[in-house]
Amino acid sequence: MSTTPLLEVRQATKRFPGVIALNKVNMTLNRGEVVAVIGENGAGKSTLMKILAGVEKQDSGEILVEGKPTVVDSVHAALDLGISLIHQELNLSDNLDVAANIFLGREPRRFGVIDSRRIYAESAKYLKLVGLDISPRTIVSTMPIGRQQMIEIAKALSVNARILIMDEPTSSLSERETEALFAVINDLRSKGVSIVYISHRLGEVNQLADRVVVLRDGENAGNLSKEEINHDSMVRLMVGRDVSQFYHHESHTPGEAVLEVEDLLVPGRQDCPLNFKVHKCEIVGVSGLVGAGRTEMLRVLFGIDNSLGGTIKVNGEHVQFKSPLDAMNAGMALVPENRKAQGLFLEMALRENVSLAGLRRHRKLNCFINSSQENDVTTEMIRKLNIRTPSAEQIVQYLSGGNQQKVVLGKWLSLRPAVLLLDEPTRGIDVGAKEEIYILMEELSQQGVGILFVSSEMEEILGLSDRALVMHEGRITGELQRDQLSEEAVMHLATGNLEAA
Amino acid sequence: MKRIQGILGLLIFICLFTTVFNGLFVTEGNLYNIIRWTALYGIISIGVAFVIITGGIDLSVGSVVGLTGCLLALFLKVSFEETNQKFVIKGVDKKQRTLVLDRSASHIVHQDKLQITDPRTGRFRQLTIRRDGDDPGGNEFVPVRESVSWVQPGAQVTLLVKQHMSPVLAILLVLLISIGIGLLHGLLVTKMAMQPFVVTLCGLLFYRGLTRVIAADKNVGFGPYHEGLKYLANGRPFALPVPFINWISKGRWSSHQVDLDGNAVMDAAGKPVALDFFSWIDIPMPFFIMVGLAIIAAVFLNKTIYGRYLLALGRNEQAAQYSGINTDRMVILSYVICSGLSGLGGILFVLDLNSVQPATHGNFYELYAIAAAVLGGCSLRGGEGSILGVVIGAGVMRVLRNSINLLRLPTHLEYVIIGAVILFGVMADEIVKRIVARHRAFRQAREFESQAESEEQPR
Repeated sequence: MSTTPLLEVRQATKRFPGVIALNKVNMTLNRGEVVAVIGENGAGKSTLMKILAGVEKQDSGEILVEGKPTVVDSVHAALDLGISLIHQELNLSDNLDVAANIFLGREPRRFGVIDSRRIYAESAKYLKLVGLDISPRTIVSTMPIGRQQMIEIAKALSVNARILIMDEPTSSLSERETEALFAVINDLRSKGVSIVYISHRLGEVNQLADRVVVLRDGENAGNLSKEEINHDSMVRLMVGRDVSQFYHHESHTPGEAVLEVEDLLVPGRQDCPLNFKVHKCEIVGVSGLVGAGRTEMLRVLFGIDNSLGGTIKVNGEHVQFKSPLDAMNAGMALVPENRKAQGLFLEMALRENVSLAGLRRHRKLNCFINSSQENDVTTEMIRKLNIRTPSAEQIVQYLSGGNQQKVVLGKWLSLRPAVLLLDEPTRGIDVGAKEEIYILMEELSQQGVGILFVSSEMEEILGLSDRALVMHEGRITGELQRDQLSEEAVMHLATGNLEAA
Repeated sequence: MKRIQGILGLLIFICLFTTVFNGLFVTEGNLYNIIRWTALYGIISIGVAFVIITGGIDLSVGSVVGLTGCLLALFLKVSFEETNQKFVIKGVDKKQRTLVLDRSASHIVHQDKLQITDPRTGRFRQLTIRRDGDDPGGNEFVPVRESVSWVQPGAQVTLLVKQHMSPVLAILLVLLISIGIGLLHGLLVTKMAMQPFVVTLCGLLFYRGLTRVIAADKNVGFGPYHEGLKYLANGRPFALPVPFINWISKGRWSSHQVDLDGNAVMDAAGKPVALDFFSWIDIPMPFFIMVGLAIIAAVFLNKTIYGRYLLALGRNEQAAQYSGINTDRMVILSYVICSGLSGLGGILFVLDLNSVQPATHGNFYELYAIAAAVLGGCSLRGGEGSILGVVIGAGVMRVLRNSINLLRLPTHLEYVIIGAVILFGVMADEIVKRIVARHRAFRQAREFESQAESEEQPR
């Protein structure tokens, strides 16, 4: 195109300790265009968007607005340029009304007090723009989530945004709300607003985007023009790389079933009974997109949430978990998704973290801590998991992400579980620690542990799984044996195409 | 140990400061009182520390102290029952205030009464038996408290027997009630998911009102009765020799006694009165109770799995739940410990004071207890706390009030000073923590950089 693009990103690079999140990424956006940015989790989409919105600053590379190099060093600077980011989670104060939210933080004032007449009048204008026929006095919490999304858009437009960045806007919307959102997006496009649309849902991208930018591992994987956009082409670009060589999983002969799940009903997904088995010495991967219901399933399997029906058998015995303690006693262990919120006591010592779950089992005189056992098990886990720490008394907050994850793993391995549930075991940790965790999973499965792990990283699913379950919107859409495993096959199932591989 | 250094320093500083400006601080009586009150406040402070460690708060401590104290006094209320035992007076010792009865009266005990008709007025009068340690009386000899000059030999008396609930039963009942209160708080906080502040604020109001209703808003107490039980609150089972302090308090930094104007006090022979090198400080009973409880509490918190669970859930309740800890049960336990110790404190406080007002007894004690816990290193965010620190914190609170008196600061400044000292104490603690954290961060950043450099070089 001969005209200067509205926004251009040139060679943007961003490093975080231990990872390169973006490596010389290029992207352009023209006036009145919807560009979809797609890629697997961790491909660098959100980092790119944060740089555009002024939340993060690139280490090198340029951002050009209307051909002029521009510094976007704060959210304010981005807003002044007309760039507005709408987060995946809504950022509304839901106790306030619509108008108050639209003008939050920049309320027009008259005689020192908020000029309410003006904010209601102007809010009405923006509500019309996004096709909402409601009073600006409506309290946000009384509105359905889809409408709240529209308020976010109205809010963005009210600061004269020329560029709207939408991060997974449909992740919590119903089908009808999604359609309404698309209508608004199309309308905005026709009015010259440019939109960067981030989504996992390739169907939506297909329907909406004028152009697709694919990121993979922090680099440009390719661009697709309007005519080239289709499900297969997108999947190929997203995952089309050589599978890294360092996951060389050797399949073992699985033993008898250690975990059998029949017609399990997970709260919130009552219409999707789950059925699967995990055998001794087997690593079963669970793939799916964010929000596919994988974590919810693990929570039920570990007794954190109660199931609404169905049966669970561990080592052939019926079990019913009313609490994580029941699950622990039955031989289950869960390394949760959010290490800091659910796995660790950040201000406590490594020893106290590692030993906590096992204290009960090794107590003396019914209630006393067996401190020699506690020290032994901590030393053992530091050695076995190669946790790099100055001492067992180190406060875990000061350990690196990878070592923190090993602390959580150590807590559970000390119990010698029969079934190990892992939820995103390598999220946010460096490559070296990742590999150590893979090797550890291998060793554990050789020792007879049945492992069920949830991962959003395709390489992990492909490299580690003896078998993979793929979930989509609460349902297990397919089960792939090791010889059937391919990136395309997983992606097809994960995006909701039943057994289409 | 590191955590209590600051508060211990503060305590020592206030003590030394006060001693320098007013030596009376170190008189035996003053030290005895400080130790006794520190122990009483220490008990309730240890209780509230457990709740604070879980990240909660208990504002009802003072009202529970009031309620349990008044309940104990009411349970142990003494009444006299008329018996059908009648005696004839055979002799009267007016000087010794002793009656001689017609038959053995050895079953009559201290504080029983004899009812007799006063021949002058024709009305019943009651004589209180006095059979304490000094004057046990003989078989037929019954010493009484009142004057017996008007009593005529040959008159008939009726025995009235002292009656009250068994003290053991009364104490058990009171403790049970306070534990029940804690259980209620815990259940409301966990199962009803109510905020601890709200639950215990309502408790503060409710138990205070309940106390006033039960006691009909009248003073309650033990009067001259239950001396044995009162030993729990003001007994002095043990004394400790402390050198020098006599010379400071009575000698104004010299070995001989001086009067208030600083002149040497002379004895009858005209020589200066020499002061003993050692003075004996009585150690009050509550101190031993508190030390016992503190040891149990410290062992529980640091050596048992449940103590570890409390600390862990105070840091991160969700992670504790994910680690298989029954967090609800542990939170309930902490409220039970808190209210239980408040109840025990309430028993000791009322025994110590002997007579209390239902409307005011225990007012603000929750705030002193919370302040002591916070001074002692408990974080209101939860997960942190040392029992020794809390006890020292309670000491700081008591010594501070005593110092304000002894330094003759205007009493209306009392709360200003207490508030300021707590604020600065906690602030200093926070600042020290931050400096330590920053040092650590710098050190780690430097290590990280040097690591990164050494990794890059080979490439």
